[in-house]
Amino acid sequence: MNQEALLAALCCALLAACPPNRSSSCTAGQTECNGSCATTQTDPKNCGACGTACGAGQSCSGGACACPSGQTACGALCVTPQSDALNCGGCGKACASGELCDAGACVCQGNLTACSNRCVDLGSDFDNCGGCGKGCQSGQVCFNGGCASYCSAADAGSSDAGLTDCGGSCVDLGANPSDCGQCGQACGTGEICADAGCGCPAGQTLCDGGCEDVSQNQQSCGACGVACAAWQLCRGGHCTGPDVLVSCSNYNIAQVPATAESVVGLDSLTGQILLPAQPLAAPPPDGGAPLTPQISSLLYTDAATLWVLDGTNAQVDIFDVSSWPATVKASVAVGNQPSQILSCGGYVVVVNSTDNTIQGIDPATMRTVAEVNLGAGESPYAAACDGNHTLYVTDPGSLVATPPPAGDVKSIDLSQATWTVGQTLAVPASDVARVSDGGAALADPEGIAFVQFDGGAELLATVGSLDPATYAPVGPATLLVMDPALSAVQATIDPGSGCENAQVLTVDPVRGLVYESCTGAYYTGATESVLAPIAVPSNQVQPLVTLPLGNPAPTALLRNGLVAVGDESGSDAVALWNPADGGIVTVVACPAFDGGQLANEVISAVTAAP
Amino acid sequence: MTRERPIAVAALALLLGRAARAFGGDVRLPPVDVPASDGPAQPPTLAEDEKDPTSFATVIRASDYGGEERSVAELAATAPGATVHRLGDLGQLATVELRGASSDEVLVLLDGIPLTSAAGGTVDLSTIPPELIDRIEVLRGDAAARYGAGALGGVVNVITRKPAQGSQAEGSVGYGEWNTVDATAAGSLAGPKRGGLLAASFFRSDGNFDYRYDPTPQLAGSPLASAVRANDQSLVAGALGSGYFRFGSSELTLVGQGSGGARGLAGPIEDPTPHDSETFGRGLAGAKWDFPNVFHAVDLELMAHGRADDLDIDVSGAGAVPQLDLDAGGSATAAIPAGRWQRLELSLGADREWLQATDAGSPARSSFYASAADELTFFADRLLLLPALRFDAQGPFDGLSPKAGFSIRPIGPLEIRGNAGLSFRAPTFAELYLQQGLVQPNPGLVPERGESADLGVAVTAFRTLASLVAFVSSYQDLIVYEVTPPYRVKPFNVGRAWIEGLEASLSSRPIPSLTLEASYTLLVTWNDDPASVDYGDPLPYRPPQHAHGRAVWQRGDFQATLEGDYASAQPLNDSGSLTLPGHFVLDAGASVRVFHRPDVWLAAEVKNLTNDQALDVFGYPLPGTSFFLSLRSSSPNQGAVP
Repeated sequence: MNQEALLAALCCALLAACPPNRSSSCTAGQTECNGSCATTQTDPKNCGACGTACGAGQSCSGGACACPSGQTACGALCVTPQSDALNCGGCGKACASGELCDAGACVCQGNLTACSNRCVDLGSDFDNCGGCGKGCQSGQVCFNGGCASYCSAADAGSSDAGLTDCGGSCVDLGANPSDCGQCGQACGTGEICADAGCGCPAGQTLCDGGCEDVSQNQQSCGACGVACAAWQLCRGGHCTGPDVLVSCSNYNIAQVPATAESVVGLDSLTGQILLPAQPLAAPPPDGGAPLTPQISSLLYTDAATLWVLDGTNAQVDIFDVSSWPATVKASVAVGNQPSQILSCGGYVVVVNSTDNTIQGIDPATMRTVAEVNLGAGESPYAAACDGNHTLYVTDPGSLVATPPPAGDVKSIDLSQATWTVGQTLAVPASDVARVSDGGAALADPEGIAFVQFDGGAELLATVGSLDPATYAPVGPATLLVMDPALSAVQATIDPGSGCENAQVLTVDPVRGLVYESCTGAYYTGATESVLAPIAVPSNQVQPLVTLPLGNPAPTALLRNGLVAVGDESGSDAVALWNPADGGIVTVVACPAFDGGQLANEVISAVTAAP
Repeated sequence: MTRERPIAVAALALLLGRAARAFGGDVRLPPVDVPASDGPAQPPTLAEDEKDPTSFATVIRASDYGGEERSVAELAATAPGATVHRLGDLGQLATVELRGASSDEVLVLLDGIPLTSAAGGTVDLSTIPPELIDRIEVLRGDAAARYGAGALGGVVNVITRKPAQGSQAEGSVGYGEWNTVDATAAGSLAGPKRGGLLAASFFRSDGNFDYRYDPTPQLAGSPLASAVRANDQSLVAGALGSGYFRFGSSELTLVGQGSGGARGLAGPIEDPTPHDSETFGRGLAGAKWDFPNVFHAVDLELMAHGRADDLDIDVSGAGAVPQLDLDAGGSATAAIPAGRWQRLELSLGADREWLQATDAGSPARSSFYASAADELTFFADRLLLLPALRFDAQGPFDGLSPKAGFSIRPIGPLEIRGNAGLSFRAPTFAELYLQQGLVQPNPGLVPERGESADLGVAVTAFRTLASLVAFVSSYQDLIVYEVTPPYRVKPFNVGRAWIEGLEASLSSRPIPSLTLEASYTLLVTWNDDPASVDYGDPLPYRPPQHAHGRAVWQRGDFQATLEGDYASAQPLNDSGSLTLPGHFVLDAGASVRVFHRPDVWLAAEVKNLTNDQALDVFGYPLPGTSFFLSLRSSSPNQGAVP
């Protein structure tokens, strides 16, 4: 026992009171399970209690195992009762031979008819010849829906091609699932009879449970028995996870339970929440109990590695997300008030806003290997990478000077082990800070994007036009166009008065567009705002896209070309906009949390899965 | 990514700090027992507060630090259970916390007159000229039942100089690092019927010290850079007049104090504010009229006071933003003996305070209190019981502050004291009305509430006093500034805290020429809100361990001092993920009497001998090693004056 522990023990003994028991070193909301901390509300390996594992394909929500939307738990398996012939309409309700499961009910295949709970061919069934209950007499056969002497319309003793007398029923052994290939040989559940052999319909595969469409079957995805995880969808025979992650955050994490800070995973095509709220707590770099992060930025460095920038605890947490729940790989200390994390020049770069530094982390060793200080009174804000070794940073300058100084854009050379600040281009505030209703405006450079196009490249940066006292927008979010050498502001782009307080720029290289997310004034009750597409290199503003979000801010271009935008107005919503057809799907992604006047919810980050 | 929020929050934090400072406050953020020292020849005794004798008090006498460059905050910080937070060094804002309670939960008095105001709550101790004070009485633990609402953590009562019998003149000059100059002059004339004292002080410092910092703190092994603290200058001047007049058995005591100054506001390392400055001024007047035995051995005391505090902050040379806080009040106290073993004290008081500030309108608040305390003594004064109750109405807020205390001396040198009480703190004008940029007021606030108890034992033997006190406090409805949409900060009654700890102190004069004093505080704090993600985490800005030690050797014409102060690492945020490293500062000094009658002492002092390059809790650098010289003189007492 060390000195402090001894003193603490002495104190406890004297005062008969000690700090509250927090289940060893686990954070609030977690339980120690076999030496590690588990969130029993969401951990499928310890769901509700330590050691209570969920079955394949099941997730854990609210301390109970649950199946994905549209599926039901049958034992340890998740099944689709709408179409599963073995569990049709409920667990264990298997369909009979010749039946299919359709909309949760067993129905007869093809031209078969249900008679006395059996699927029969009224054209050939001896007991139901031409209609249910119309049986033929002994010595007769049922031919073409009528009782006859022979399975033929021609001669006695002959038979129509392909029809065989099977116990008085004239059946086509090549296609009858009850007598397939020979009399009395019935096909399995879900199988059809074709060419005198039992098999699955086109596009389906015979699995233990019957015929399955392995292109979209959660339990047999791509092949029989290959089950997708609860956070995956079977699409095209591949288990695919969420293609967009959003972080659900609150203004004051100190006043909310740990479960109110989380990451949610969505499938952008369906808007389905594949990954319910994941807490993503991680210990400090020097060890200790896991801390609840206040997520300000997310970054995938590969499909299995997610970097989570935790502004409150000044650390970046690296998670293995090859499966969920994610596991912590490491944590790295960062500066105070980090605002962004991105990849550039082979580094993971962190913008440390109030420490005035740009920090470089080696993604392989997960250690800080470079850092450059921009100088006292600076305040780096956002950054963009040229795809090589140059980083561009917007820097609004001192946070406490009154009036606020003019900001600038800086380039930083990452090509050497020691990073250096290169060119600086002052933002000509008087030229670009537009004021709609008079008075001084704050020309903070905020979002920044590096855009490459045929024959060149340019930098775009947003300028806030904010009230210096209240930071409320008082003018349009003008864009600056700069050359990569930062020699001059080449042009300004006015996105129109409908676009105010833009903080985020997102590049769509395929369409040659930059999306300016127009956040607008906060908490005005607005329920919609706009996204301004800017064509490059023409720098022409395209028709504004109206989004059903009060304060759209974090934006990500998804791998399928959709654009995901998160709301900061407390609606918990993400808009999924399809630039191809203009369609917008809005998903309430974050769990509603009633935190009273303090725990106001925001979607603080949106990122695309690689 | 939310790109505006980190910036906005940082700006808010800085702004909030400035806003709080504008109201004489700091952001929310305790001391150990240094027993009274009655001069080097006297054995140490357990200090006893006049109004609250069962509580644990520490008396720090300024004369013990003669020739040493000490601010009021530095003196207060020597008390067990006390922690001082500074925005820099000499002349810069300094606030005191007691037993883990925030500085706005500590009442600061000047000669019994409240400096803690309804305007901002927190008192900046740097605005009190240390040259004008006689002593600081630090009362640790809930003292609301005797001193009023707001004393959740305790009371710091700064007592100014009083006329000494006879006639006497004193003066001192000092010079040191960073062009630091201080000078004091005082004269007093006192007799049996009347007496008076006049004193004046002056202090200035460029404050432009060198400091080292890490420009790339996340990069291991990166070299430190050097910088000079700019815009850190300070100036404080003060004057004091006090006197007494005796009419028969009654005595009228008057005190007037004025002080003012200016200083640069240097700002944090990362974001210096080279053009920010502030000026401040204070005028304070108090009168106390004691009528002993006015009726059946009843003692009556009448008091009146007035105070004006002005603070003008000039940000970036854009022009000062004035703020004027006026306060006037009075009280009447009757001490009624009830038999041989009982003394009942009843007190009534009223007060009104006005604030004129651009950002908070012109709020005013009237206050009223009524209190009763019963001192019950038994077994030849070996057992003292002190039940007390006080009712405070402060504007729309009111509440009761009950207390029960005891002191027992069961055998010889052993004394045991214990106290338990309830208290509250009304929201300040700043919290209720201040609208400054991104800082929002909250008119819906309710008072903070606290419950406290302590139990301690002291033993005096072999010219040594040793004490050990355990304390525990629980606070609810703490007012905490939180971020609120749209990117503002606003105070809410959302904090809950549990604080417990130990205070140990030792004071010894083993031989007449040597004085040894040491104190140690163990503070165990935690966030007591089960709904918070930080439930159970230590409260920020509170060092779990704080130790202070001082040795004084005085023989004949020579005196030498050695003083050390240690604070352990402390968390800087709610989750404890950020910490301020622990620090140890060692000071040494020596004085030689170079002339007799009048006595002239030449003193030299080295502060921070080990050149500890520390930061304060808000990230402001503190200076390394520094040197000071002083010359002080006092005329021989000319005897009684008629």
